[in-house]
Amino acid sequence: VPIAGEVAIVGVATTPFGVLHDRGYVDLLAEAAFAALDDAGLPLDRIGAAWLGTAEPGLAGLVGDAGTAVAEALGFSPRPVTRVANFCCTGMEAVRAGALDVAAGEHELVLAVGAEKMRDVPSRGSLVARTANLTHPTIAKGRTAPGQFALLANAYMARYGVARETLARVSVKNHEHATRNPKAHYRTPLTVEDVLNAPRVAEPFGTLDCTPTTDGAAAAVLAPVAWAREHARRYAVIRGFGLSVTGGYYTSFYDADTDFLGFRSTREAARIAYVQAGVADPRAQLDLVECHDCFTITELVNYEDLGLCGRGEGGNLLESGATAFGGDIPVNVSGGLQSCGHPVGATGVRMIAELVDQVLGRAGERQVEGARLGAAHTLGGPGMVSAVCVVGAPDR
Amino acid sequence: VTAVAALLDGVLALPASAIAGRAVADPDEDAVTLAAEAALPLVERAPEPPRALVLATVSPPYDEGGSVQALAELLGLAGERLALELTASLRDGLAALRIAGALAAVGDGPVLVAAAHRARSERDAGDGSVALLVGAGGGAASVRAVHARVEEVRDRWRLAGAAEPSEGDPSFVWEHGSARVAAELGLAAPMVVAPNARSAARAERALGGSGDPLVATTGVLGAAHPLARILLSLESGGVVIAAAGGLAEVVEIEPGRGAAELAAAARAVLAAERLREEPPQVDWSALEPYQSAPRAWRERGQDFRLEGARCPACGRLVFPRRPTCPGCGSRELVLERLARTGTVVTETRDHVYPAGEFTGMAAVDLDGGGRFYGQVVPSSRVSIGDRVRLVPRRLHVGGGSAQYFWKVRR
Repeated sequence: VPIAGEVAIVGVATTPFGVLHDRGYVDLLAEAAFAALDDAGLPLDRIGAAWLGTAEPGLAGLVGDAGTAVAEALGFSPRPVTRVANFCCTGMEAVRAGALDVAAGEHELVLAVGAEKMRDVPSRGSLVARTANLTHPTIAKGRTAPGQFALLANAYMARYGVARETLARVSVKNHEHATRNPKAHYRTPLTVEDVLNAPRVAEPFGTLDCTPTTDGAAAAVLAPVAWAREHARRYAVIRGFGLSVTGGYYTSFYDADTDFLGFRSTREAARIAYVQAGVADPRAQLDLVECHDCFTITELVNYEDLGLCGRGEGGNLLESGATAFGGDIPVNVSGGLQSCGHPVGATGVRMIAELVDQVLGRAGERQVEGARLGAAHTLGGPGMVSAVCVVGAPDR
Repeated sequence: VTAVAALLDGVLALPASAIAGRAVADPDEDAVTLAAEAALPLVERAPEPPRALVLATVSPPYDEGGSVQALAELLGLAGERLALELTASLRDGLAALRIAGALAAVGDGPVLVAAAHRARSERDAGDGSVALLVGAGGGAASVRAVHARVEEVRDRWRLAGAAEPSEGDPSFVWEHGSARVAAELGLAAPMVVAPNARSAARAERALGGSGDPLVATTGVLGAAHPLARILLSLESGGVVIAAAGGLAEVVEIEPGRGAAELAAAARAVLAAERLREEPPQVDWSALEPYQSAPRAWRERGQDFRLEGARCPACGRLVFPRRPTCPGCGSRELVLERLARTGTVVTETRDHVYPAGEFTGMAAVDLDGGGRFYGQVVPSSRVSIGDRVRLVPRRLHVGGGSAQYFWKVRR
């Protein structure tokens, strides 16, 4: 049994995203998981197994380093729990692993939960300092997350003649979107000038080109579509799921076929997911996209890698308004990573929860009218890990 | 005490910046990286690898435990080889030359002398390096060591643990240092090198010399200084006195074939345009980088020699080396050194990497294939399409040791 068309999502939930000093890692995990079970109308004892996505347990005292965190947070004992991690695709991996579990027939009802507690340490001391210290002593030393995507921004602007202001408009669009998302980290609209005048991070980026450092969790309950048809209150269907890993963590920027204009991993993951979902023309067939806008440039190259436009046309697509709420292919109506923040293990699950809410028509103020099919995309490490999940409404 | 060395080849290297008559290295340069910049071209164009290596520097990166190992690794000269380190005074530039001549005379090949200086707070000092290839005969010049002296007269010194150097009374040092050496030997118009540049200039003028062109342009380059003077006046030859008070050495140079070319190349280095601003500072105090001695040893070819791996099946050159060719899956990759010149593919200035105000980062397509991605030297700003080269620098200091690696500069 494949995942595509056979695995349903019968309940989802997302905690508020933000700097949540009043809640610890296991509190967030429990809040998301129990809310997803409530959404599904299922008691915890019906769940056969759980998959936990946490990328950086070192930021929160290592509690999220293994499946034990789920046993502790939910009293989920003595059932199987596995922690998965794959850089920024970690949340997607929790859902993918849970879906594989269901598709294999090992468990009927499976919990996928992603959680990340990033702000028990100061934002600057968070990932940047850890990466600067713990990574290889020579190879790629000096690399930071914003620094590696800044390499793309400068290459992309030079190659295609795209203006700095166009990058800024990605942030402006997604912050406008977040005004309709009560769970986003930042909900204040921005101007292009705000983005251009923000403190420098890695040139050309300022702080408002970058996702903030954020706490949060999200969860999904997975089941066979056949079970969902009989028993679920409501459900969405995973129509396609692609994962692609194209290179090493340290070595990939040293490979002469890395063109700094996009990511082969995304193109490959999208190809797999689209074939499974029967998507031949993504711009025409998809009703919305949640993609990995960790930095402003990332959203533009994602448009191209996800097949929403041709190579070099990402800036034009953004400027046309097509990817804004109300456009023909709205991207990141949740506010994206730019405004929701990016608790790494939670992000992919949050995106999938957003698609479920949209195709079930319960997305409130930010509902994309008539949405029936959406794609979620995360991009990990130095862009060498990509996951694409296509989620659709059930067959009528 | 006479000995003869044949000077086969020589290179003067100076840093990118010059401020108020002093050559100023970037904050990530030290005597090892400066010595490597002069010695790399020399080793690469030498007909055979030098049989021994002598490092002369008053500013060694390591007070104890040796600095010459890192230099040997950067030059590809690690392994079964004699490597010496002379660190007492600027006299040691000439002492290294004398030792190299003696080793070459009894050995079976040329000897590399690398001398470098990284000024700390001392007066009149500048940053730079000289590398010489020394043989037993022939070459661009013949160097005769004609005098050596040791006596308790101190010009400039630093007691162990002292932050600042001490200085002797200039007139006393002059009288009992270089002037006395010159008088005893009856030298006419020698070149005089001493830690105190004013005292040296006075001595040189008094003895009818032509004056030191480096004093007002680079400052005194420590142990590299007497060697720099030899190179710069190689086609006319002459006598060089290097006297750090009572530690003195005198050599006599007789030009041979190719002397004019080497001197012209050195003078071109001296005349090159330099940046006039203080290089940006780096601050590694917030970094606690992961270090591993077994890792560093295992990957020394990669870190010091820029060894990548060539796939014989599909021709792809990859760096860092890896077990499997990413292009064709072959597992028979062969180590190959990368070219150190190339073109910038893309770059950024990162203000969040915790090593100071900013850290330049660039991806560079190398001329011989393969790509490099890493830091840009503090004094250089690069743009897409720029022609650049890779130079050895300190990447950071951590766990009590200096991490050397390659950086990008214009």
